Amino acid sequence: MLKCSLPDGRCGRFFSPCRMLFLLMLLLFWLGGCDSPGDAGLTTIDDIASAPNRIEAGLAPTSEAGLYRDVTGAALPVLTGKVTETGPLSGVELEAYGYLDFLENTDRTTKFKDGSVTDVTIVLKKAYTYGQTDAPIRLKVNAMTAEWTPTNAKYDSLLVAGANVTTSGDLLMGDKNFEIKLPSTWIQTYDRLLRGVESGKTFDASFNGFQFQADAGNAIVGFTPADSYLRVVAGGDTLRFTSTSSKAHTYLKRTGKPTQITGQHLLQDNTGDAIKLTFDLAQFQKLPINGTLIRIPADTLALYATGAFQRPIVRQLGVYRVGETGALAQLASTKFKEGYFTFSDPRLTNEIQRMVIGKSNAKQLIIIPEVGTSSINPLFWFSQTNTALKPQLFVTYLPSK
Amino acid sequence: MKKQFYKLIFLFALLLGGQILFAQVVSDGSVYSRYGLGERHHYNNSRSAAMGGAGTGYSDAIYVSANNPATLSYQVLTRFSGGYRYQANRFSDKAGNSSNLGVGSIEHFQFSFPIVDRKLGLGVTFLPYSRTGYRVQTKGELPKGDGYPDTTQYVTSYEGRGSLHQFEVGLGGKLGKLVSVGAGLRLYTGQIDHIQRTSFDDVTNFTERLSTTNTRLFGTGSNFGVHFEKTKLGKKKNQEIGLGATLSLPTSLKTRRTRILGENEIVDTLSVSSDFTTTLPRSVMVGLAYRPNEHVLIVADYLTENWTGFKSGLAFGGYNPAVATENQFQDRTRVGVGAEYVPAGRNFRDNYFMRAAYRFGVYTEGGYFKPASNQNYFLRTNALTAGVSLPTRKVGTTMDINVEVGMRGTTDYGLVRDLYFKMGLYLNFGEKWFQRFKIQ
Repeated sequence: MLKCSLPDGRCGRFFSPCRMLFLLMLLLFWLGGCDSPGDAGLTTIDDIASAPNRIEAGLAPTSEAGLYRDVTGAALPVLTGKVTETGPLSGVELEAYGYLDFLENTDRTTKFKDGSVTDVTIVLKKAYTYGQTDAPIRLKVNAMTAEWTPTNAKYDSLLVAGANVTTSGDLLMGDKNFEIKLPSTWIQTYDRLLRGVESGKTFDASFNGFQFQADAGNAIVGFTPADSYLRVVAGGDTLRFTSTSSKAHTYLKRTGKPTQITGQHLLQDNTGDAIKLTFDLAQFQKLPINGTLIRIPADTLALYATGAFQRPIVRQLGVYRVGETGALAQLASTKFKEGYFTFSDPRLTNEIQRMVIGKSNAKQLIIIPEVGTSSINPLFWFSQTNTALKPQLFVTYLPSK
Repeated sequence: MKKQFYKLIFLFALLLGGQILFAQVVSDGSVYSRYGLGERHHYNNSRSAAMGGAGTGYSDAIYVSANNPATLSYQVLTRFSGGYRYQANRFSDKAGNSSNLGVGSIEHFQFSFPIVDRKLGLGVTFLPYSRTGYRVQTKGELPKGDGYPDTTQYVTSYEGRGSLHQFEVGLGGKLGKLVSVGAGLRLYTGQIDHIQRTSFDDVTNFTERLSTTNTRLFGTGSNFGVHFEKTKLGKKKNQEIGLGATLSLPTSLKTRRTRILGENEIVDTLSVSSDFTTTLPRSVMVGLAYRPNEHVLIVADYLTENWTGFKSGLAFGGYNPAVATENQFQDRTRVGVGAEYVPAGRNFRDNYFMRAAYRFGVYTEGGYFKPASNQNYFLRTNALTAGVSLPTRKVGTTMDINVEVGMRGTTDYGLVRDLYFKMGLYLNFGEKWFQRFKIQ
């Protein structure tokens, strides 16, 4: 369409007008992206805003027991036992029921099939200890009489068990594994099922697992299902009937309260405790929020137990948004440092910005323990009025013009 | 006919592509575009742009005027023209602060064709009426404390972007041998954003936020033009003189303003105004063109816009509707003069660079707004322009390169001096379309 008017061949030279024009056009496009803006001209901005400002905003956290019901189904480890608290938590009693099912092992040898079951031992791999460690505990083993599912089962979902199968002997807290021998009556009942020779029935379909309860002692222990199993001996061969986290659950019950100290609150994992956050954001109506920081003062020293009583402490908390359906979404997570849990995260800022502009559909914001595993780790946090022990919310925002 | 149809499709695609490109351009220009409706865009055609913007007085078969519809009557070729312009601004204030900004943008698009050769023509023109494009920023530091272990650097930037576009469909016809008249229907549409953005170095604890004031304008207006041309003057019958004038009547634009906080998923419309009316001022432009011989063309233009009577129900930079005075803005005036020299004159067989046209000009413009509050200072712009028009093998098609160096503003009254440089590339394409051949 457009032809160079130069004599033939001249456009082929490097410095031809056509090529120069093309290069010039490229240069103009490239120059369009060269900027170094500065503050020259700032004085011509007639409605210039103030600099970002940071102030303390209204925060009223409240301790809510039973606000958040942890899902313990499939959470590890499975807890069992009973603890009567001492020291700063005196008055509190905690009891945990652990539930485990075991899966049939189909790799049976002929000897195993043809022999008879002579021994069945529950082996529990210990992974968590809370309580008195210088005294043994004993566990009651109860039979689960019906099929159950741990899916979405929460810490207060009590699964009803049937008759007592056995009670363990003394289980030493220093042992890595707890072993509980099952009685001969139980072995006789399940002999053919364990060996896989019962026609029309399987062990998996007929056996529904055990419930473990404290019988004696002052500790709650946790064990990992993947490393726990039934050790079955038949015909001189030994087989493991392993457990699985998909058939595990913990029921937890807490009674009593610690001695109440004004402005000091107990937060304990897996018991439903949560810190409910209430904000006063009226002064930020429709303003841009650039940053938020929540500081919760806490005391881990007071709960730190020494000697034979072992009490792991909550060292990490998370701020969560509770949606209309109750679903949780993490907004911030932090570890305990220098007396505070300090939360600052763009996700938290965005949620508070949504609240400020009336676009949040969060039912509430809560703070809950983030232990990573199933536990009953506690924490004291404060809501006192003096600056050092006062929960604070700092908001960085751009003031209105 | 089929070939012409494809060409038409191609041109529309170019127009559409240009619009997309225009929308994507980051607008970083003069901070003074924060005022009023932005920086007024003065453009007639690429030839005029190199001659101080003056060109109302001449008619031309290659360069169609974007301002004077009367000159559409001189067309013999179907024409398409478009241009891209880069503008670099350097701002400095009395304290020695400075900033450099650059922006590229589409200057204009125009499509025109003769209905009756040299008697009646139609043209469609797109060009910005005004542009808003600036970026100024200030830096600061948030102290540590309140749970923050370190200090944090922040940048608050004030940005403006957007344009008020002007589409015009014009018709021009000849009345006798000397006089042409024309009229154009204008559609104005556009939006202007003023944005305040605060960002932080520490992105793990702080979040960037935007606050935008968006103003949308829409309306229709009219433009009228007249042109007088006398050729074959002087002893050698090689002198020409042309006179032109245009009148754009005041235009009411429907205007709505929205305040928005944030972006992406966190966005909230804080307020939406009712529909207000913004009145664009009357504009009068007169121009004179004189060709003493076939090598030289001298042009001069004068423009005045009645911004004194600007009215709007909404506030703009430098204008507050709550203030009961009509003189918050002043009339915008512009005087431009320029000249063109073609060494070869009408000798089309001469050397290539002798056939090129060399242009220069100068203009001075009194801005319509007062950027320094409490001071009776209105912005003035003075600039030098120059350009070269390169012919192509295709008769009626040229490639133009223009440059402009100008200065506006002052470092007094807390203002900034804006030294700017513009460079534009333009294509003026012409071809005989819709031609009817007579069977002998």
